[in-house]
Amino acid sequence: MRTPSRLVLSAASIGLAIILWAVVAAWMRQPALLPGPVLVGDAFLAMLASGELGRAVAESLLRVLVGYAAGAVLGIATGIVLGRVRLFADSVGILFDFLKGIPPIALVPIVIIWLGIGEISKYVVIAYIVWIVVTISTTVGAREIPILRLRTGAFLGLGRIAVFYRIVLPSVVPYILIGLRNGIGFAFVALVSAELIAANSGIGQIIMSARFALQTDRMIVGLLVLGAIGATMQVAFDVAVARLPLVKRL
Amino acid sequence: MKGALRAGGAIAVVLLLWEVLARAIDMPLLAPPPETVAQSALALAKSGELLRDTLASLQRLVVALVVGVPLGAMIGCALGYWPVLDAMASPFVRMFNAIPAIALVPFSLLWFGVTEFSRFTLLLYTISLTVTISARQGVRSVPGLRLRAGATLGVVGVPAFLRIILPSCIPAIIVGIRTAIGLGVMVVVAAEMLGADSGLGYLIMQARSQFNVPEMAVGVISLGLLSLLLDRLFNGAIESFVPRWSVRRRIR
Repeated sequence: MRTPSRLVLSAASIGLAIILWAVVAAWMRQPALLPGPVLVGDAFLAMLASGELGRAVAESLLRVLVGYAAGAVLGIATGIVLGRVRLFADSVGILFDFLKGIPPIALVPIVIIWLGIGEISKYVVIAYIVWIVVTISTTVGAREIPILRLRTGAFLGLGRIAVFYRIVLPSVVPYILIGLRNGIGFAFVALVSAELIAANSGIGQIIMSARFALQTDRMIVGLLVLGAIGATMQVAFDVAVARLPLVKRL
Repeated sequence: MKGALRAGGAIAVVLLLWEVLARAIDMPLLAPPPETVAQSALALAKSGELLRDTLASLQRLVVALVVGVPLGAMIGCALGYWPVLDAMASPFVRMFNAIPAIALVPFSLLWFGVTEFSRFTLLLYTISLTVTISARQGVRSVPGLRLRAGATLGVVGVPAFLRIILPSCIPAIIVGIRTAIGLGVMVVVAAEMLGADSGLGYLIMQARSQFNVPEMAVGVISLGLLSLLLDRLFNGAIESFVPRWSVRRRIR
């Protein structure tokens, strides 16, 4: 027997899962606990038509983008400094490992007390975790630049600034990219954390308020939309990186 | 030794900066200096709350790891081994991997209520999904040459799986477990913050309802220390007990 292609199998399995979902939901007959696919589809269309979903997506997306951009820029700068200055490279590693271990959701209550429940506190929580993740991997990259490359540069008469631009930066780029790629996932974790605890708008708020109203269909829509946005951003990142010229991938 | 000294120096500098900053802001209720937080930690430690909540979080994590790691490893190996199964599972693995596990906390509360079981399910899901993905990747990247060499020597089928594939993918599984520990801490805290009566996440939420910033800081710092400790313990255990699988210089 010839095995059917991956695509066919994947499609068949998605179809099967939806049918199974519909059967189980119909058998349970408790839409407050498990609404069927039709109900969820209706909820999706209704939320789309009322503009509610679009607004929430736009709000959440803006938060992620602002926080992520700020965290990434800071992280790259911090990482290069920490990696290139020996004293820092040897001493702050454990500090960042400690900071990385703090779940962003645990910071949300404190940040809210400091900065209020508005947008700023969400940006800060997202930027914070992205900063940590990007810093850690950039530091590794900046520390592990092959000494031969640096010596070759010096030997060929490059000044300190030229060495930085032409040797240090290009050598660190692959590590920065790893950090940025991991940062996307963490940014979404932080986004959801902030929106679940400080629920006033966004996709997390849709999930949380639907939960209290037992509108499980709306919860599932929120969840699926969240996953779709996260996946899209990761794929977009991979495609963009693949198109970057002259980047040596690890 | 020198490294420990330098790390200690860095921590001292951070504490000093914190002290200076707290005095400059001069709002001890909002931005408590380190000694206030230390007093708070001491009080929580004396009353036994800190230990009780730390152990509660830790216990949840360990139970879920003990069940979730073998489960994830088995599923991952199966997916890596049978392409048909992998093709059928991959849309779901991808979808759930893109959804932050924290977003599932409301679902676990809805379906299982504020119970130990609801937190366990959520953690089990996170840990086994993470390990599944890395185990699958590990099986798929077993060098074909090794399998063919085994086949030449007559090792095929189940023995090939046990003696070639499984040992080859253990490093990948170890990386997966390490990631799973980090994610597990995040998820257990989220679950405790949104609905529980013990654990470090609960401690933070309790402190929040009383606007007690020092206690919140104690909770946050304990979490950082807990996951740092778990990570180092796990790495240390791998390095001393199964050094052949330790990867010292891995990108975090």
